[in-house]
Amino acid sequence: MTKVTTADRATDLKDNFAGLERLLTIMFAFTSVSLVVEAYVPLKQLISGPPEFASISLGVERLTRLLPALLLLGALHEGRRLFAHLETGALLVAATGRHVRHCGEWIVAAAVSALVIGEILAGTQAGWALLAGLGAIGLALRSLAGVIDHAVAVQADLDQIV
Amino acid sequence: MGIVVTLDVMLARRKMKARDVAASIGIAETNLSLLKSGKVKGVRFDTLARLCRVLDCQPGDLISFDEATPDETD
Repeated sequence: MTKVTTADRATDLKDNFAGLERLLTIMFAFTSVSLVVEAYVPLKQLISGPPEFASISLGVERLTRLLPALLLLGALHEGRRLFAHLETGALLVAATGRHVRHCGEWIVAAAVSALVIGEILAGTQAGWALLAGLGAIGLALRSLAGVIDHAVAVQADLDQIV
Repeated sequence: MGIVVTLDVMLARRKMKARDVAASIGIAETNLSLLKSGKVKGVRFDTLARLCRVLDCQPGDLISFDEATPDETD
């Protein structure tokens, strides 16, 4: 059995991070285009449509429904930034914890907005489960960011040992 | 109270330069300088062992404990 060295592990991690960054970039682009397509009609209605209360209200309602997806897009973007940063090899630094925390906060915000708007729920158990899962992932990421911050502090101490 | 690093005394006794010692034990001169000034949080046993080997001394010749010295690393 071949022994896995620290350098091998670091190279593997870098490859993984690069792959994940590419995947999230593709997902981000795809989701952005989908959102723009979805928002195009209501936006056009709002901008160039007749100034009637009913049509404005309908347009705003349709745009509001997109808010959770927009917030999840923020999480995707933060995820991209996280993996792009990790790809540089700087793992235990303050920026890592910051990106993970922001990603969690975007996800929590998306879950809360979906709960308030009620779009994803649609009265189904699956909707509730999806929201609960999303919220739990977001909160877990925020906690993980705290662990990373602690690890960064420990690493800083270790760096002062010669 | 704290640990006082007496590496500079031992370097002077052995008439060795910090740069040469750093090169022979394989650590950066900057790190040895930080160690000499006591601005580190700790010393690894292997670094200590290599220092003792190069300077032909005991760990107690490189560090000592002084109750009156404040701990600067906190």
